Amino acid sequence: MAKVRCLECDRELNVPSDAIEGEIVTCPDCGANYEVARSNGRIELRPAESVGEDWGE
Amino acid sequence: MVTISNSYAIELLKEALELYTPSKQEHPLARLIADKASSELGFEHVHMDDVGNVIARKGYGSPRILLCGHMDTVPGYIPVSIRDGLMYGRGASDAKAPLLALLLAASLARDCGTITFAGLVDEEGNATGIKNLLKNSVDADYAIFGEPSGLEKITIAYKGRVALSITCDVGESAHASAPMLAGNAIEEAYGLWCSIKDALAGMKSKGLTYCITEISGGSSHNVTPARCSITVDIRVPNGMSTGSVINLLDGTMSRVAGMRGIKVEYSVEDKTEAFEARHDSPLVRALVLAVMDVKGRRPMLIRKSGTGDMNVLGNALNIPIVTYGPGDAHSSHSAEEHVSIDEYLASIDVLRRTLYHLSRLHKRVGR
Repeated sequence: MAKVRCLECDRELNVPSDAIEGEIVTCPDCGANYEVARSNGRIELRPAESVGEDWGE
Repeated sequence: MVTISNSYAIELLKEALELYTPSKQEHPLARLIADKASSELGFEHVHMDDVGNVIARKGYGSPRILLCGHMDTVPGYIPVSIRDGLMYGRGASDAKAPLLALLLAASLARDCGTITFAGLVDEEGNATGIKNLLKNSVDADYAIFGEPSGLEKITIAYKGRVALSITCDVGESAHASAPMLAGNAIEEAYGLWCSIKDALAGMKSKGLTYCITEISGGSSHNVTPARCSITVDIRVPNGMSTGSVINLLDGTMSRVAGMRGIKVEYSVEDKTEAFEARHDSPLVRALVLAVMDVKGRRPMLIRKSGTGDMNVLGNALNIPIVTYGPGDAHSSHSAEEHVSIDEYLASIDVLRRTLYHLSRLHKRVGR
């Protein structure tokens, strides 16, 4: 289990060490969604895109 | 300073809606806001600038947060009424409720750095208010624009815009019974527009959109047209410059003019770059957390296909900016313009909490 911190509320998140790249992890406190990424074997989190579009000004 | 209760907030919105303030006639609302800010809402420095914007400041130190919205509305008075929890009136959603939510949230905030509230003039007209605010070198680390986004949506991006006015000139006209004797500028303009669409088609997948919005040509019903003008409106996504679009079309128009043996002239009527606030900026995060505090759900971040004052301010100051406020933008400018009173009251709470989270996150990132 890898421990990483939520980028929004700083809560410690437990990410399974067998998590695959691109898997979505959600912070139970603030609900932020992250994509699991790996860099040099280490697990990192990247904010998952959750953006909509709308017309007008 | 007065206690800002729900009934105080509702009465203030009602009073603001009863003032008819189309563009260039914002003074009654400016006066009301200035009086309330200085006598009841705890702002320390309140003044009106030379174009009629109301500027009110409170607090000190960092972060420096700009809260701004516009005081003018589109024309057309709507009698103010409350029905089924909705307050009707011209400007209810665009944008007096968002504007007052910012004002009241700032009033409620404590120890959140320096807050500057700006009530702007002429947003629905020629953007005189925002231009003057920029001219006077406003200092800010973050800014929130008060426009209707809905309680659970945060507008983080606007597209850029290129507007071109293009004229095709074939030189001569002829009697309509002998069209072979001259070119036809209306047909040439249509052909040119098709070439422009072909040139831009490859950018559609990146989010670029385009349309023809105006056409004017011909001098008489029985004379072939020698000149025809069209207006082309292009919305440019973040990551693409307006200059690259104009350069591309400059080449297209030169090529078509040469091939067809006509004269093509154009002028750039608008050239506004896209703007997007970073999702991980303290401002976006603070507003997300504040919505979650109040609603218990994550808000949706929204990219708008339109272009607004946020583009101008964001690109000029290079700071994170979002647009947020109660109301439904799609009902703005309509004869049934309204805002939900519950949403208006909740938005004050969201914005107050945003200011708290923003000052906290700003200190943490050590800016």
